[in-house]
Amino acid sequence: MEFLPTEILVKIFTNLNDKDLLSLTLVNTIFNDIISSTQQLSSKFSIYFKNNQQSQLKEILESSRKYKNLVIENFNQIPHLEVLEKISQTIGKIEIHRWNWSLDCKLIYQLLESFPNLRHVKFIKILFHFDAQFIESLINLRQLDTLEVIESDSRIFRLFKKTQVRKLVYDYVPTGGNFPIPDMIKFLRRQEKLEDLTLSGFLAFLNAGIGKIIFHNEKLSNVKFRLKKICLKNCPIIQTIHLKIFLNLHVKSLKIVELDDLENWNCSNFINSCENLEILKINKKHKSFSFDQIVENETVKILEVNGPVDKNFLSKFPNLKILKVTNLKTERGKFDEELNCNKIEVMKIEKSYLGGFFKFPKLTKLHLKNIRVMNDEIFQTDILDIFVNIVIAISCVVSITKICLFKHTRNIFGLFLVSIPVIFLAYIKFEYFADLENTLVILQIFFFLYFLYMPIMLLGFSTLVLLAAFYRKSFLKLINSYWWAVLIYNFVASSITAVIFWNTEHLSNRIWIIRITISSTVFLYQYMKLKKIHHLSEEFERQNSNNIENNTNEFSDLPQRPIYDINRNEKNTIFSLAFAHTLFIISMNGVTFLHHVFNSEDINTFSVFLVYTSMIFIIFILISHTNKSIKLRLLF
Amino acid sequence: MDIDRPSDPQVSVVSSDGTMFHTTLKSILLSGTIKDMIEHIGEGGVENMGAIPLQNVDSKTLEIVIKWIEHHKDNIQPTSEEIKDKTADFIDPWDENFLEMDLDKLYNLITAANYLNIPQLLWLSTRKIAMLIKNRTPQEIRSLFNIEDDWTPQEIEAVQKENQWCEEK
Repeated sequence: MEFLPTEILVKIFTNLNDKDLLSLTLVNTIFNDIISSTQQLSSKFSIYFKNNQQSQLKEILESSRKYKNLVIENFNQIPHLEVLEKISQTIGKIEIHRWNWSLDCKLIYQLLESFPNLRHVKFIKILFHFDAQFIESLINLRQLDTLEVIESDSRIFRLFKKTQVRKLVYDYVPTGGNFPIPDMIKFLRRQEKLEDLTLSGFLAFLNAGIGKIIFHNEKLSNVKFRLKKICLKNCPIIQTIHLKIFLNLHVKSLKIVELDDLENWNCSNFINSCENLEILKINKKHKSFSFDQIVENETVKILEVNGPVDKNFLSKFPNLKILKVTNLKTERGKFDEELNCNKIEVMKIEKSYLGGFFKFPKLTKLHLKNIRVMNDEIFQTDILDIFVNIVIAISCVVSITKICLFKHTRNIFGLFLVSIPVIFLAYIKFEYFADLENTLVILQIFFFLYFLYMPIMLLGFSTLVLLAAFYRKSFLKLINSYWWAVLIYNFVASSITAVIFWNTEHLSNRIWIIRITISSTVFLYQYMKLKKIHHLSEEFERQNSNNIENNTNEFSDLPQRPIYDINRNEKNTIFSLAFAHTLFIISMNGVTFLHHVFNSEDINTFSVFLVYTSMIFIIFILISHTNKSIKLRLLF
Repeated sequence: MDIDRPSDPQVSVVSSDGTMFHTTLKSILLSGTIKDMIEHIGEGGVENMGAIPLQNVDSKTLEIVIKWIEHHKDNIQPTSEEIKDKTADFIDPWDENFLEMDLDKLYNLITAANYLNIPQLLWLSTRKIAMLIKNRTPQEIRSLFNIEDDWTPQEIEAVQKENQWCEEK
């Protein structure tokens, strides 16, 4: 690779992040020279001064790299003057984070003054020790573009008296006894070219009556800037009048509006009044906002919504091109009719429960992640789901009958004591996964464990379910692997028992041979069927991905390919395994029953067998009558 | 010059080792270099132009390039400026499949894409190599790409020390 021309190597390396570039510098001298001398590459590196490292800075002084970012965290002194001089011209962004003690304002002043080309300054969780006599303001930062003050003392704004910024991010937290907001307001009043404003932690801000000073009592003509983008986060706003007045100043210029965590504020009037809105992002954690009150808006091109939406919400935005929805829930088969928008080109849907959605004529890019899809064309799931549910439900009923017949009442109590809260919690935590089928599958597993007389395994499984419920990661895979484990366990345990007890009188052991044969047959059958289902799912994915060109670069945080993460495979596996398990149980009981018939009479075993077989027989007949979908043909 | 004419005339190109390839005008125009060349010839010159000699591309590589441009001739190609801002993430499965080739071929393809000025192909192929580099240690990169380690111990120590300042710990 090293023989490729430098310009091509640079092209290759621009695709990499700082971590990978650092490894490359160690590969050989050529790469190191290229990376260190190309500004485009070495500007990806940040310098971190952290936790009072006292080592030599010699390397930085001798370096040819042009560092652009500087991060200072918990460093007890300003780095050496020579180092600052060395990097001062290239540094464009500086982050100062988390000091364990108050930071002297002079120190910050000196530091910031030494970088003439700063464009971005960010303070995170900084408390200042402010000297009353020290009122100098920074004059050197002519180029400053972005200022972020996150959970920090707002007296820092005193330093920026003469600075005009384009973007301001202010996250307010009340700090101790002092009341530092006026500094921020004075700063805001001086701004003339501010375009992009992000405010969060707004509640205290307005409740304190400070809102009056900034937005109301002061003459509005004092506000010289006009925002193009506004982002309001974590603001459970109670007193909205001042905010409204402030926002009304900007309705003509605003192009991007982001509203997060809305509570007690119906922002629809504000959205309606924005004449030139192009991008709208709404995080609907609370229900006080409704798309019903939005009037048709022809300018919005990009819409991002997190949370449930009203029907027809897309009809409000006839010119929408990019739609991103998260945590959407639509009823089965309704999505395609309700959400119909002719101009949408890109859709990204995450964590949602949908009907069919391929009816967007202009759609060129589609990204799906954690989707539960109903009513798709290959899998006619509705009827099948019902039958699988019946199978599982009946085997649950049978299990209960069996427990009652064997009079293990004290164990039933214990079983329910563990299983009910677990299922309940799983149900709550899983949201869209939590429906009848999964609950029944969990229930069935509990009963199965119960029959294995393994209280420890039962406890272990409960813990697993709870863990999965809290982490919400591939829960279905967990169940899937559990079923496999159970089947393997049956097979291995049967074989071992057969070998050990072959010649003893203790058990009437020759039936174990039959058990092994049965379980291995079930295995084989299962394996073949799984392969088929897998093949079918792949086919489904292939067909769907061919409909769509996947060449988007709109969403930079996405993986390389669109993921059809439908969890179809897991679900099919579970159902077929549940079915195999049921088959297995029937055969076991049948064999046991026959054994007893030929040796001694046992009325309990007989009745259990009778219940089982009759139930399963009914299911067989029912299912064979609706042999319409592919999956049914696979199952039987 | 009217590129979107309905008729798509045949164009021939000749590789460095003398093999001639036939393709269509629409596909070959994806190459910025050839597009400039044809625009230079001017209106009407295409039909009488004869084969275009490409001295820097051998026949094996040219075959691969032609396969790619013919597949993408109807797609809108991004300009090199647009590619610069590309942060990138969806790759057409066809392209991904197409780029499954050994490293030598890939290097040749990159060089050819660079010479022929096909921004999208250049981006795809350089990205492919970048993906191979991702998340590997220096030693792994060396053995994967057969790169010789020419550092002296003192030099590499200095770079390692400098790199320590760049790591977020």
